Amino acid sequence: MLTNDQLATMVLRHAIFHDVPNQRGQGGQQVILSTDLTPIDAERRRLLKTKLVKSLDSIHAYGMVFQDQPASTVPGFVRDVTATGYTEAKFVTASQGMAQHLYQVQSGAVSPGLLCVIDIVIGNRHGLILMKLERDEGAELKMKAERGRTHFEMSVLDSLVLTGNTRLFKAVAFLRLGAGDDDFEMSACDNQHNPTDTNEMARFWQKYLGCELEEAARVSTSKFFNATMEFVNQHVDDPELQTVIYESLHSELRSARAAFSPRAFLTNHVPEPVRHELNLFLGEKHVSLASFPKGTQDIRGSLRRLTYISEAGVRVVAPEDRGELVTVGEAQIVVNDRLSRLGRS
Amino acid sequence: MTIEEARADWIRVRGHHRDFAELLKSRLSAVTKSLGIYAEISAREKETHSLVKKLIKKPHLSYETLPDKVGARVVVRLRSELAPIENRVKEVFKFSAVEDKAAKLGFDKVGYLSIHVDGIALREDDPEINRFPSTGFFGELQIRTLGQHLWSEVSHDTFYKNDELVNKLPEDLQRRVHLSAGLVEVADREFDRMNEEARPSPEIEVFSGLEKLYYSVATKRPDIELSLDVINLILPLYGEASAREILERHIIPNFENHRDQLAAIYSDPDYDYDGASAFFFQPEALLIYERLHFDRAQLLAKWNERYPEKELERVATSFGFSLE
Repeated sequence: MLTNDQLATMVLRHAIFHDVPNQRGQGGQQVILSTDLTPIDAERRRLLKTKLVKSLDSIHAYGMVFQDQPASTVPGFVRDVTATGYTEAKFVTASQGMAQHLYQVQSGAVSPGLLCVIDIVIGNRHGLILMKLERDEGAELKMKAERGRTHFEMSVLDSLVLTGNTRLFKAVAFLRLGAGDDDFEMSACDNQHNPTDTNEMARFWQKYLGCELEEAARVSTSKFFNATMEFVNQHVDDPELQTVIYESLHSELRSARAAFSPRAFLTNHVPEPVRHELNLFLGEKHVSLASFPKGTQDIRGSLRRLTYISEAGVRVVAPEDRGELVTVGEAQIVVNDRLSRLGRS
Repeated sequence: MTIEEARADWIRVRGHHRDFAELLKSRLSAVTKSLGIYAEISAREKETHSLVKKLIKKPHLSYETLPDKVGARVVVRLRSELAPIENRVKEVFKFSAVEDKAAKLGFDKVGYLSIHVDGIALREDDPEINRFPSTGFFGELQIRTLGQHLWSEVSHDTFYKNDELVNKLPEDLQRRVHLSAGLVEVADREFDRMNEEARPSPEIEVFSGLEKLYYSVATKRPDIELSLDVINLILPLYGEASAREILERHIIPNFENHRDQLAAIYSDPDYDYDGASAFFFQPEALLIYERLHFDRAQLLAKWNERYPEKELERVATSFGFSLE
């Protein structure tokens, strides 16, 4: 996933737009491919960058990797354009190929729109950004055609990208890190769907890109859970605070929400200065603070708890997968563990 | 070489020396940035008429060895900032002599004060040495305080120019010129002392720490009143931590981890435009940057108590963060 520093120092070099309608049987509207770049002035370039930063660092953004054997042609085009020997012609051809592929896979249910392909540089690394924008019925998109050459005019950005109310927006950034086919940093964003939604519409963007989540939901979830529990057990001395964090973590992970935001969890449930320490601890453990789709399969046993309630109202709560910790006798409940600390509430 | 030949040659090579002056200015800027000291830096090549005048007035100087074909100046706020800059300049550049005018005056006289570095040139290991070899490209550097600069500009450089001319003034006027130099020196020393003795409030202490970091990556002067206001607003987000703890545990480590990227961001001309946030070219932007890393939601909530959200959004996106 692209870092904040990478997004901040990203330079947008060239952009090209293609109009990609839905296929609606014979006689339907055809894809309109530009042959030339859309010239962009400095002000719009800055606004476009702002829009991209806001999307690619938002809670809707996720780290991605290329699929092993994608049906999509996008990975091939991305690898080709970002390899050494970049030319503008190669960029235009690749963008046309990606628009054609979008036209082929875009079924009637997917909103038609424009595909914008942007050539970027971050430091000395080369990359590409793709944006899919819904074509608003009322938006007037001016295409300039002259002697067989075509390009969308700069005003296309005003109509589709830079207005504050652009609702439907999908974007992806590919940044080449090395010469290998998989040496890429990628961030994708789809503000209409969660990446773990299983319906066809939600999977569409990833499928088109030939990408999948960088880290399986179950891996991200257990990494965050285990690291946070380790921190709480080793670095939080206050038993009351331990309980608060522990309970909040369980509650958030067991809630019906499909995605989990570590950033929001820290803000809402971990007070300073412990929050800062946990933040650093997660960094040391290489646990990202970016949102991830929840997948609790691997920690199910730790999340489920059995509560033993005595006749006098004493409660003993233990993880379900650690049944050996509690022995229930006829006259007593025995906890087979040593006292770690005592809390008063 | 005759004066006429010198004039013709200077017209031919002046552009090259202008490039050298530009490079010298950027190297000096790097020096002050590395020390976190704010300084006004200028460097320029001599104008043709001025070069000719000097050769006419000072026949003992030759065109080839004229020491100030390029002149540079570093003006700092405090007297205590002179020595670190002088020392770093000596490390970074080649030079023929350094003259501290104060040493020349001795203990019982007052007058023109500045540090002059003569024959300042690129070192042999400088990547630009082939373009600007030290045999042909050298200049004179003056390092002085704002106070010294004020006195020089008004009393010395503009009207009297040098000691010979001052000596031609009536004695009483000469005395007043020197007394005014003494006043400026007293003021400079007092500023230094006040700076050292001040017991700052937490926000001033944080501001001082931030300012040093800020000037190591940026050059634009901030609005200090606004800085203190923003710092005052954000400090509660650090709980009970003292100003020193905030700097040492939060701000400085985060800054050092991202120093190169911040330098790249602040040197990008794209950020210096009409739409940039009013809070971007301010030292407290680094405080905002740290909170964006660690406590974005709380920062936003706090920010909205006093300032427009759009401004924070602008700062955030400049640093590659989204508030969405």
